[in-house]
Amino acid sequence: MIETMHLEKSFGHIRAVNDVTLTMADGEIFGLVGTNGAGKSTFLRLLAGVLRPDGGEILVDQEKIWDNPARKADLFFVPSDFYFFPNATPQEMGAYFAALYPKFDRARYEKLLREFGIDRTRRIQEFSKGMKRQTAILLGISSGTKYLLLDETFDGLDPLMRQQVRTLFAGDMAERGLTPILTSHDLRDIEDLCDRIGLLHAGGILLSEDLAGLREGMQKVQVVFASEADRAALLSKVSVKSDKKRGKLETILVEANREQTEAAFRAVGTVYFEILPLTLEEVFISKTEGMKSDGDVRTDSLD
Amino acid sequence: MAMSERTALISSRALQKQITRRRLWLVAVTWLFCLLWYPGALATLLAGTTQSAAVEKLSHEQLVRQCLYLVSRRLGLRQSLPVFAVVFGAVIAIQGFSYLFSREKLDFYESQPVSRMRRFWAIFWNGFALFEIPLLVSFLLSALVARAMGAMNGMLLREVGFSFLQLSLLFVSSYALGLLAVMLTGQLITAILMAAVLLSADWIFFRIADRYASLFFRTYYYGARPNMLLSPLYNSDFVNRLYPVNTAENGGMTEDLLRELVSALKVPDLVLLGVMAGALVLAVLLYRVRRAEGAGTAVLYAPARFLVRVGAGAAAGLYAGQLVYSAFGSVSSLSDVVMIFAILAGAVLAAGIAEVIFASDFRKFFQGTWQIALAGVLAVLVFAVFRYDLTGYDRLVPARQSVKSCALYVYSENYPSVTTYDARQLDSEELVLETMSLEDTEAFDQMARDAMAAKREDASGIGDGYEAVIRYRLWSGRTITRSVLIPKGEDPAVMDAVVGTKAYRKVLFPDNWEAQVPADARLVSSNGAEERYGNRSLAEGFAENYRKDLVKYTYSLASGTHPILTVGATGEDGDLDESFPVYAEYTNTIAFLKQNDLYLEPITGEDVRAAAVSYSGDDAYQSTTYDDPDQVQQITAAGVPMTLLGSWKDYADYDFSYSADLYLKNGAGTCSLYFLRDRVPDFVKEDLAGTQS
Amino acid sequence: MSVIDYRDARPIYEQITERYKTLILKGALLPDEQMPSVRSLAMELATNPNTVQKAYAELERQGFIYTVRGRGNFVSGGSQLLEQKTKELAESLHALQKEAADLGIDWSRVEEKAGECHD
Repeated sequence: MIETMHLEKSFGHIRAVNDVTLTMADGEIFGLVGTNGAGKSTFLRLLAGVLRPDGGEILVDQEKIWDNPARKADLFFVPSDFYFFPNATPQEMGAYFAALYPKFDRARYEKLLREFGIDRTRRIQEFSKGMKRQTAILLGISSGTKYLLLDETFDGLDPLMRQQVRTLFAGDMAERGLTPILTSHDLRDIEDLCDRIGLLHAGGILLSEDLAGLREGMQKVQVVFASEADRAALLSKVSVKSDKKRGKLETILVEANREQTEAAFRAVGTVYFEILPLTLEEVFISKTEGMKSDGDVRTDSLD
Repeated sequence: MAMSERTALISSRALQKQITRRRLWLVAVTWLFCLLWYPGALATLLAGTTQSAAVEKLSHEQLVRQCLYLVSRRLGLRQSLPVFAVVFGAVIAIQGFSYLFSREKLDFYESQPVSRMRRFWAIFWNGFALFEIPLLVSFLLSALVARAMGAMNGMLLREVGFSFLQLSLLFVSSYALGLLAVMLTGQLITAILMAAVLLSADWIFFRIADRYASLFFRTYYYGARPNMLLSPLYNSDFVNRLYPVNTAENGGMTEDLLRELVSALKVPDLVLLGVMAGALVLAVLLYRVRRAEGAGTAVLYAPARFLVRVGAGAAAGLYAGQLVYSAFGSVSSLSDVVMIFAILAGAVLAAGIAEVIFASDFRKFFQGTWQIALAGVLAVLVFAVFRYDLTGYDRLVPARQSVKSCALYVYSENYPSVTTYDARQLDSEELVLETMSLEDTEAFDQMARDAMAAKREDASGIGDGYEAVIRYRLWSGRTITRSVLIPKGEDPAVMDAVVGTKAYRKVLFPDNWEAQVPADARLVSSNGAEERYGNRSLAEGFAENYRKDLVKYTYSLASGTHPILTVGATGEDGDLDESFPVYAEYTNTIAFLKQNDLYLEPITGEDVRAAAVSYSGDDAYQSTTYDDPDQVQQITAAGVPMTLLGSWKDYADYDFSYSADLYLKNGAGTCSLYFLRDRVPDFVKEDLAGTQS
Repeated sequence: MSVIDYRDARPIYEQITERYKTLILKGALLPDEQMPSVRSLAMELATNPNTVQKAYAELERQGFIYTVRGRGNFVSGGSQLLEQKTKELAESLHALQKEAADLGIDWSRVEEKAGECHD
């Protein structure tokens, strides 16, 4: 389990990571989403022990990660620009990591390279961006580490590659409790994959919740109110995140579960109302917009 | 799953292998260089010498000697380019840690399960071995090659051993400074620049101070240059500076010389060790607190940026100032103003450019103007210190109780030229200043003060007096040397008290003169025209008597009179290697010379058949010959033979616009003559310059 | 089940649950037949094993499958599944009836229209 407590990191005047408290449980996929420059890469670098926190703590399996080789042997970091030695082949990179990571499985690495159609004797310099990333991910998987930190995980991978990678994750998670920690600026990339999601905005965690709970926590309702009084009555009953009006038809985002929402709308006079499916993206946008206008940053910690 | 799972982290051997694999090109270059530079070159030189020895028909002994010399020259303490060790040190340090400059590489390395300090030391020792192993192997191979060619002995082996240690020391101190440069910076270019700064800053500051001192300090003495500073770059040349290599004939290594060299190296080596330790400690500390996000920043720490900016600004300003001054040549209000202007301009320019380099942004030129201002102010302050002698350099006469001994070197004195081989190849000036040991008496103190004052006031640089150099050796170990001008009118009693001391006279005739005279030499005496030769066996007798008479040498004697003879030893080819003045008062010597048929009477008019007198003045060159005995008599009496001009004389004593060649009777030769001031005969003046006296 | 429909707005585990419920009710999977392991299903679907685990938990909760420790998951037998499904359909029917009532539609008309539908 990786825990961060009130994690802080600044570069000069810029606060890249601002009082972040998160828990990433074993055997789960944690996804960190955020706008570009929100601090996702910085966060991962902190977890990997590349950067040193300015404040707060990072505990990987109850130990601080900074300059801790024993714990670092349990994680493999794949940044968005993975460094390969000039003129190196996948084979050479494999040999390099095999010496470093105690559980590196060379046989599996070779097999994976074959399965993914990567020529182990060809210079990585010549690979396409996707193949390079692919190779990096394979190195990470083969290293047998418990944690796999992937920045911009699927960036540059075509749909087939993505599926192949997800299959790898599935197998290793089920078999040996692999705990992937992924970041992306695109929610759709990891929406269906993650157990928990953190939304990083301006260095601070806006929300960090179970994905299912996230979805269940907000409802999109299209409604035509019978009267203004009804409208006012409803607005007082539930927490409304946004309210768009087009003529008499209103689209309201309500922060409540489905049952509560239904009950609230039934209780007031409506000509018509309908609860519509909501994508995670819409949930996030509404939360981010809300935060931006509020100007403050909430920290929701998991339990 | 995996067949064998190990739980241990990477072994040291494996880590070293990984590190080496990333720098194979550097390993290859180092091996190639060392193998070519030492055994390769040595084998070639020795083979070449052996071949040409056969052609030149050298004896076996001579060949061995030549070969031993070659080995010492190539591998020994006085080898030609020890600075390469410094270069390798800096390069290997920077290359090994250049990953700290790349964000990508840092993500790569610092996320791996290797502790930071372990990685640091692994790279450190890898770099150390990268140089030391090829060096050691090359030295061993070279020793074997030398042995095989019969050009190795116990002493040479020891010298080579010391030389290896010396090179290693140069390497590690430069290595540590290179490491420090890396830890202070975040880019490759700036790391290289920083390394260059760390290796040469002391020399640059010294050069600037030296230049300003020579411009503005009247009593500044040029000879006092440091043999060593702090930087390994400068100190790598320590031995070659102090003990320049001579030819094989008298430049070979000896036990005494080896001992002397090793002893001389003690202090510089301690300095190098100190520099290494200090730089390494600092580098390790900076590494420990280093932040990965520093990658890409030119210079990491504000204090370092500050120091570099202000230092570079001040240095550049001062450089510009002295450059501009050379257009003036002498001090005036105008030169001061222009200089200050140039200094400020240089400081602003350099400090601005430094900031541009730090920020990689032209617009940052004027960032932090207070730093630019500080650089300018500092430079002008330094200028003022020299220009107005704020530290009292020109006024420094040490308190008498702090002075252990002194030395005095006077340019118009006759010191024997150095005949004995000195490994340091000192000229007589350096030798006198080093060996003379006068006591700081009241008279000396008086003379020193007057001489300093005279030099201070002498704006033209060609003063009326005796140019001299004074050296004080203080009890504290410090040495103070000044160029001075002993006034012509200085109290003779004071001067006699200084010159007439045993310590002063000691340098006028070497203790071991007679031992140094070659077996095939002859004694020769001269009165300025004729010469008389004597057997070498007379050398001892002459020396004994001359020493007895030397106690009569004083300032009054020397400045007031001229010697009547010179005596010395001469080599086979007839050139006079040495000549010592013999005054009329030297009764013992004169008696000895008379006894041994070496005495010559001073030249008088009766000895001269004709005299050719020349005048070379501003307007003309004229020459006439006189053979009238009366005129010839006057001419002879008015001057002094060239070789008998003696010491403690200056231009004021003679009239050099006239000179004469005296043709002696009986074919006894020619004598060049110089006229004493105001003694030039009237008729000569009339004939030549068309003027009356 | 071989693929997840990403255009489907429902969560993935719900899709899995529904799919297997249908297969079991239709008899495509027989009682006491072994379900695919969490691992293999996750890999087949290229999805998070926890999602598959959740689906299985839901299926078990609804009684469609049962777990044997150390052996895996198996299809439940019995008529109670059909009973379960009947209940569900009834609830759906009720909801539709309410909807018609809200909109002021006569239910008999709906039934009429339903009869006209072609399968």
